[in-house]
Amino acid sequence: MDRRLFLVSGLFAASLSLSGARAAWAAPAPAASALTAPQMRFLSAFCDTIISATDTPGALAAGVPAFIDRIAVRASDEAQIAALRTSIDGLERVLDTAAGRPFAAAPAPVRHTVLAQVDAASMLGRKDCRVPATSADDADGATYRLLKAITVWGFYTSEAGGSQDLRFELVPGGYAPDIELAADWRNYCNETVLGQ
Amino acid sequence: MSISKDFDAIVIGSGITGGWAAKELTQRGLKVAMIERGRMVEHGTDYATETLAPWEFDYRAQRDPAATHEGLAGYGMSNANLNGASSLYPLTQAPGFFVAPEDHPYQTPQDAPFNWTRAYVMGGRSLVWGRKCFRMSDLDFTANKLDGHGTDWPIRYADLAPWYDHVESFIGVSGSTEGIAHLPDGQFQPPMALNHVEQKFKEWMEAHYPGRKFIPSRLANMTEAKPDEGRSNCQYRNLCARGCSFGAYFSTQSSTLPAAQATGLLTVLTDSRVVSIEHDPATRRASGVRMRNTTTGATTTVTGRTIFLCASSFNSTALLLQSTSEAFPTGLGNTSDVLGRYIMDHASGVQVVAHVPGYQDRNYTGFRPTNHFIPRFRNVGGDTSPAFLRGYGIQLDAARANWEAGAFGAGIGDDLKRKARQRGDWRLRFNLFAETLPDAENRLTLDPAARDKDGIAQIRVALRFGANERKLLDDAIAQSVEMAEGFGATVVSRPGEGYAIKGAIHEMGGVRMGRDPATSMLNGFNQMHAVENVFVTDGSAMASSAWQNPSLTYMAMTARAAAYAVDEIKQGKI
Repeated sequence: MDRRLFLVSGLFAASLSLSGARAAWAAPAPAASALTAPQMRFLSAFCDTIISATDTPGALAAGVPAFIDRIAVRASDEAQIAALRTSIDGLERVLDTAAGRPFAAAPAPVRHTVLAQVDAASMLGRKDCRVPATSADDADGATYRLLKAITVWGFYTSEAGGSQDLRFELVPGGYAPDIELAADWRNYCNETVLGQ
Repeated sequence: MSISKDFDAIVIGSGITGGWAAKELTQRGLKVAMIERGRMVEHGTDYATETLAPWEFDYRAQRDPAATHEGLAGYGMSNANLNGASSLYPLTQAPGFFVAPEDHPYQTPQDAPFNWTRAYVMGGRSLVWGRKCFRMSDLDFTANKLDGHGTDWPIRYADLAPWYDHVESFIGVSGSTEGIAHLPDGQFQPPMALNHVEQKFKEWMEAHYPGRKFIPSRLANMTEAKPDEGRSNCQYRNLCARGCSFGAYFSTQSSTLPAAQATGLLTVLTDSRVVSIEHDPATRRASGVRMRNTTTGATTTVTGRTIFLCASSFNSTALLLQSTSEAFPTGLGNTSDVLGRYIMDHASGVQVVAHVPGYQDRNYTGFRPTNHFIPRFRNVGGDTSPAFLRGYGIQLDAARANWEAGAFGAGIGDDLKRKARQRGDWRLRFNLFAETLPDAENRLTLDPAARDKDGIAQIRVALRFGANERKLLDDAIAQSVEMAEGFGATVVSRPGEGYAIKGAIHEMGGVRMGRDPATSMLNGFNQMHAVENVFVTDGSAMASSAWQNPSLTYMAMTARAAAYAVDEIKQGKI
């Protein structure tokens, strides 16, 4: 198995098991960034293309690149950070080639076209980009899905994504069991129903 | 080393049964000490994560990614973790209710892993429980006698019925009156409603399967307020496991603790782990308990005229095993080698999910904190299923996918945003819970070598689900698939070949009730045969698991035992 893929893929199932080390919620967080400055520029362009600003904020306004970096730092040891950097470099090369120039410097419509193609290919036959990668998966596709997943999660669990694009309601106060679906319905960010 | 305090009763544990024991005993005039090994959690003020939005948690209400250190891909990303029930770990900046297993280790055989989910805080698992309240019936109380597995229950439904009434009325249970003999009706507030697809499924299933019913859950989330007790009706937040300052679901804090405190007769001792129950050979009674302050390590003795052991099934069993003396070298009251045996959990951990086409115009609002229920339909009411003994229940709901289904699928940009906002398709989700036959080899023992941080022997849990449990679940899966497909749904997820059977956080047994001291630890009043001033009223007393969620039965048994104990004290018998 490709080492780079192995290190980035991880296992969601394992993360839910009991075998992990204790929750270190009191432990100091390392201050360092997981990604290099050029990689952060790439990640910003990536996030901005996955979830662009429209009539509601996009991933940049929601601070998603910094969120991803923070989680990566918290989640990773040095080897995992190195593997993540290698994976992102690999995906960036693919996108640069497709864009015919550095992806991060390409105009928004070009970025959208390129990423839409990568999305279509990477999500082919898949319903959920969170599903862990396997050894059979293409490494760049796996990296794409991982970055897409955490971009999406970072956005819709942010205040901008959760309360301006979706809706947040802490105290619904009641339950209406059978109503017409309104044409202007927007999902609640904090509805705890499984997505699958 | 020892400070003696004398109480009429000592209650060990502050969870679902400890709170009930404290309430009933104090309200009957006893001076009670309730001892909790964990920290104090004050109602409302200590529900630190209760009102937090996802973005107000350090890690968006997911486990701290440093806990696993599995890289970016090891970070969980699911709304299923929002209510705190899915995670055994503290939710970031606020201390949680669940224990980290590495802080409180236990042993299991290699071939029988067991996930022991615990909450060592004031209120225990009453803060985080599933809140399902189903009565047992004589189908259950006679099962051991009729098929020969386990020992005959020393009680029947008629013994518990008034106590079920008493408990339901006090804690507040929403539910519907159905007239199902093997799931007796109770004192219910109005039920939480079925949504459109659930109602359609109910109509279809009940028409096609005579004898089967799909009913609203019976739930300790109130649909009517109890203003005199400062408790509101449910606000449909579905964040119950973070604690509820509305007091809308039953917990020790919302219900039994304030009632006990109102008597002025309750002393609460937190951060105090009982390490043994002391036995006086002269009186042949328990004289009190020895407890260890979990912060300072100091040991104290508290004396009491009667003891209510309510520390949770496995911890109560373990405490009796640890309480050895010349009279009881293998554990307090263990004259029959039954102590620690016949432990059970419901055979569960399996789910069938089916996609329901259509109904795209139907919706609901509010976050209902429950699914609903298909009560047992096997080996009851004319059904004979000779392939297996006893039965199972199915907890079922229909729900439309939330934002995650659209957002994590194919698409970027505007397309992604649009999909994330839209209601997803309907799914039926069948969660299966089967009865586990009592088996002497399913056993809790003290590990001869491994100790915990307090220097106490770790427990060893050896619980294996047997052939009958697998047959029950095989049938439950097959029936769920058949019903889903018959309704027109397409199964998208079901357990695969050789699926793992897991428990349901419904540990039971170890100190079982029975009619004969030679084969049981407790009599029909949860009173220890061999030490008459000790009552064990949590799940460890269960002689069979039945097929329903058990907590309501523990509460009813506790209240009944408390009334009996006070009568015995007044008569000078104990």
